[in-house]
Amino acid sequence: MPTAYPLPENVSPATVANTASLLRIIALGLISAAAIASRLFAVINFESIIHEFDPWFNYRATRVLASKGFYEFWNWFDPTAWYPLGRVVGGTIYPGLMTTSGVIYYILHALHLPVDIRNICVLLAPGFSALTAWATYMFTKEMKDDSAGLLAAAFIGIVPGYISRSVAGSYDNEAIAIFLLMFTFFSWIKALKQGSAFFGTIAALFYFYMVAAWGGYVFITNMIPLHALVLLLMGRFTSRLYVAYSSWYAIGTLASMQVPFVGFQPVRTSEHMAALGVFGLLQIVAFAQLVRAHVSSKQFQNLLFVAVVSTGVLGFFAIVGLTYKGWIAPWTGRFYSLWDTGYAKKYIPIIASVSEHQPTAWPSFFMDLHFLIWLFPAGVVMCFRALRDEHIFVIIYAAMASYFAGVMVRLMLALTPVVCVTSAVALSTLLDTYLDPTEPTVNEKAEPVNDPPSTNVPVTPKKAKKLKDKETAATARGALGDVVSSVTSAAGGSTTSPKTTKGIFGLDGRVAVLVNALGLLLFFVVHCTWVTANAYSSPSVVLASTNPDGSQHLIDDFREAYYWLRQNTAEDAVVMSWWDYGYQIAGMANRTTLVDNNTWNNTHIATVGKAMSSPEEVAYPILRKHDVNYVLVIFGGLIGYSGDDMNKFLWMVRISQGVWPDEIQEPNYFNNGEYRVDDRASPTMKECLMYKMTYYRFAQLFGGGQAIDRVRGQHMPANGPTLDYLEEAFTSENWIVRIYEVKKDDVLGRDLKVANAFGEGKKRKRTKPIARRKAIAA
Amino acid sequence: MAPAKSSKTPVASETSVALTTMWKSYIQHTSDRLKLIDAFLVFIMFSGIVQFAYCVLVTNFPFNAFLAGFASCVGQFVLTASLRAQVNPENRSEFNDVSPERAFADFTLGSIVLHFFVYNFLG
Amino acid sequence: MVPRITFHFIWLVLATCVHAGSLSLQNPRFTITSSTAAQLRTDTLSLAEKPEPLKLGPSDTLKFTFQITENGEGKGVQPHQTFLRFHDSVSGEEGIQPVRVTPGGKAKFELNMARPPPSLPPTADRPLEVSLILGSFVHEPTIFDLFDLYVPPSHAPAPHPDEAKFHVLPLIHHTFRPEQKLPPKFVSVVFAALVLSPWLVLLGLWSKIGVRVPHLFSPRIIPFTALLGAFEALLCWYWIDLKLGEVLLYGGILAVPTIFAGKTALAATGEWRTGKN
Repeated sequence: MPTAYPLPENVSPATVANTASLLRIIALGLISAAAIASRLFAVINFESIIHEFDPWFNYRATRVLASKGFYEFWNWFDPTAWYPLGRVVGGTIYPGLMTTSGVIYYILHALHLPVDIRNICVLLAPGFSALTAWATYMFTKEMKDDSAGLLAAAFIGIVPGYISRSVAGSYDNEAIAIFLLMFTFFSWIKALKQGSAFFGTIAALFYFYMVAAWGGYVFITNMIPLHALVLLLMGRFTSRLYVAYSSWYAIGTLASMQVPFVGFQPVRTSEHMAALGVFGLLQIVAFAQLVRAHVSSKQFQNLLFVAVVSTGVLGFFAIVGLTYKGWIAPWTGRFYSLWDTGYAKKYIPIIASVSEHQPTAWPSFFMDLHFLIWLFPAGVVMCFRALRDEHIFVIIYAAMASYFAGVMVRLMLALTPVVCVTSAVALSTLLDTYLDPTEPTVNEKAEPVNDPPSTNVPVTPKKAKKLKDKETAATARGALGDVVSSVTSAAGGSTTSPKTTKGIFGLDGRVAVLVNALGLLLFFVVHCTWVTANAYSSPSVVLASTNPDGSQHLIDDFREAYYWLRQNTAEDAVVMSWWDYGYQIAGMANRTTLVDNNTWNNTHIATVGKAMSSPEEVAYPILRKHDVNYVLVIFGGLIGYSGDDMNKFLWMVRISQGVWPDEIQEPNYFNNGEYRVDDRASPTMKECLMYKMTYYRFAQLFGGGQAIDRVRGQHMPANGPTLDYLEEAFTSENWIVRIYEVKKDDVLGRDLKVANAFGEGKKRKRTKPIARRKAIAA
Repeated sequence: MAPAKSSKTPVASETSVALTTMWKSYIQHTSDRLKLIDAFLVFIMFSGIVQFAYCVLVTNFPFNAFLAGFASCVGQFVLTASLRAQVNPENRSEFNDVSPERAFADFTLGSIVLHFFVYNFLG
Repeated sequence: MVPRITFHFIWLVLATCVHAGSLSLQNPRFTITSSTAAQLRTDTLSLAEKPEPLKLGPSDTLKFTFQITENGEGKGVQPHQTFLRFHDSVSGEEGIQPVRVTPGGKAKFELNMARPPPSLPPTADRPLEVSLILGSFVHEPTIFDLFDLYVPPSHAPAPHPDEAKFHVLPLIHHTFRPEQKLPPKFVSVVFAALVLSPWLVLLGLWSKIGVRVPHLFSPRIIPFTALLGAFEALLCWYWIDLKLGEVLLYGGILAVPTIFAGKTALAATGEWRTGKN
């Protein structure tokens, strides 16, 4: 048998197998290490700190869990959030994340390792990313083989699309959810392949964990039934499918109802009905199979078929009917916004206002996935070639996730794993084909060679060196062409086709392609490192900028302000801010907030929006009625921080307009359709509380010079707004956070505006008393 | 059997014939082991039906308790049906990785997990 | 606040101590003229009893003159505060009108209904009670109930502009979900019996099939079944008493021997099966 390059002789198969498994273990270990290490940029560049917004709540809840115990946490009613309503925390969260870190905390403390709960929270996401890499390896192994699994693990370990949600300190539900997602899918595939109730049960248990951890569990709830349904429609019903699906659904659904936040939803809402319907359908089909085994009459079989189909249709209409009667809750708004991208903007501005819910911009696909996004379709094509049951799953997953990722930036996260899996399948097929030492024979039948590719990998770089110069100009587009051509020509590579009439002749062709592929992998690593270090590691609580000399300058206004609140205000002081900052105020300043990132009460948020977008006189009663002591606004105009409240202001207007359409109207805040904050701003804009608080005394900072708002690039008038009902309490170093105190009633019982005018020495206008008597016209 | 009842009169006689042949074939070709399991399945099915009837006819008041009871029936039913499918000699070719003993081990594990959640949900 | 009260109190004490005497009214007299200057009614008021209610048309004018003297003597005094109070006792609306008094104690008040003062309260078809309030630093304060006055009815009082904002809100009534009622005992018992009845079916079917468990009590099987029973007992105990953490702990402990027992038991059954078949 001719080979393209010499193979080592007299190596026993056992040695090869052992070496391969050793290499696999080492590779997985290194991948885990890389996955963890690349997520530590955030800790090294900044510090061990909780990031962003939601993680602050999770962290606060975890602290409660760690200090007070599980049952106390379970029954936790938080009176300081959503003042004056309060929030039943135990029943309105997915407790999986907190419980996970709580368990780790208790185990470590039982081992006498006094680790701070904050460090556990910060490092939880990197730790779980290593597990995700392992789960992806297992999953991909079911798709193709070990080498594809290793590639997939390496991809998911460092791909920015996943890192963006799992850097150290990003203590959010997604941190553990992706691992659970992948492991649930792996168990499902395994259960389906073996027809094992054991793996079905495992899938159900991990599904339960997933339900307890992330609202995105609905994705699994619909993916698995969809897969089962497609298999059913393709005529691939087997008892294995029945066993796997039934055991998963029966246990998983009951388990999912244990989470208080989910409650009876699995039997009451439309999102879960697909799973129930497929479950019922499978029972019917299985029963029909059983009956058919004992019956020979052709006519009866036809009758049975009709009965099955009509039962399915009946069941479908029953579900629709129940939905209309109100027994089953219809789709929720968030779900509608997945199908109709304009829906949220029209009906639920609060959902549309979150930047994560915006449709994805095209460049972010490349940013998050790099060259995997090109390999992804090739991998899907590979799945079509073999088309076993598990490949159908990947194909469905790829189709669904691609759509969802296009609709919402946030769901990029769900797409990332399947992209890694399919790309790994594609790339591994490519490598298999080109590393296969067997030279194709023209006529003779050669025996198939099954070389574990991992043993061959070290050989390649040596050879690659020779031809490096030749191939440096290889572009990514060329690589795609390579992949496609290899897919079309290689016919499944060395593993499937016994006759090797197709293949690669000689060394040069192999090396050219392999160097190209390796170059792509190299660029991928460089890109991932760069993106992770520069784009995804910012805690957004601490901002970084560069000094003129190139050194890093940290802008720590948020913590400065929250710390001020904690030290200088009464413990029961109520702080009003836009909901984005609710969790941070609660977590860092430990003060009561009106609204926070758990946006469960639209009216309450609209109330805050109304207070912000109304004139002072209107806002003041609202503030006093809600016992607000301080109002906090974010202002980036001085240093050019674009995520400030003036840029979010229109959402406040829109949300409050939804509740008070008579009092707040969006067009009033524009000047001829332009969003202006300078002296051409509309009168409504100039009068509203948010504008006044943002630009109060801003012009004075420039000492008579022209004041300029660096975010909106507009020149501010020299005479800024004045405040009567509030007074400035604190402004941070770079003016990012401004805190105002709400004035108490005037001691003389005057209106605060009048009192202020008196204080400035203005003469009070004498007004005629109003006649209370209105004569009836004769 | 639901399909038989929904059939029309011209085919009714044929259907009843088919039904009797089916029943005979079942009695003849099914081993005692499977019949044992089938008896258990019938038992679970009746339990579930009675509970469901109670929910519909009388009250669904402790809804979680009803769900726990009903789900325990459904879950146990499908687990047992899975066991039946796995130990059925006719399906041997489909389940290469699952011996009857392994199937029983899976069945016990699944049942214990199911019962744990049932008791947890019972209130 | 406190110093002010004591301040008043001192004056009060002072006034009673000094006993400078009380104020009285001399020659209180009212005249009602129409818009054409025709005198409609004029009379001297007696303070002992109210006269017949006075009636004012929409364009009539009421003139009221009096002199304030000390202790009923001729010398007029000027009290520090003099008010006429118009009060509607049913609606509670009132209007206070200050009256200017000359140093000689003489005062004249005029109410022109064509241009009523802003303080005149809104009226219905009831009369307003008119009283004179005198306040002084050195005399005892006095109130004289003068007369009842009909003025043309007006619109109902407009709500105060601040009323909407500062208003006592009605008490919140918490509404609770009605208590779920349990079905009658008889129904419960019947359904309990029904739920248990499938056991009969099961036992009947099994006895018909003829269940044989030849190996149930063999030493390789019995630990497994016993441990499975223990698991069920543990879960039942969880329902009655245990907490989640304890169940997971005990379950974990119980799982280890169960796995081993299960392995041996199932290996044994496997042997019997293959041996038999």
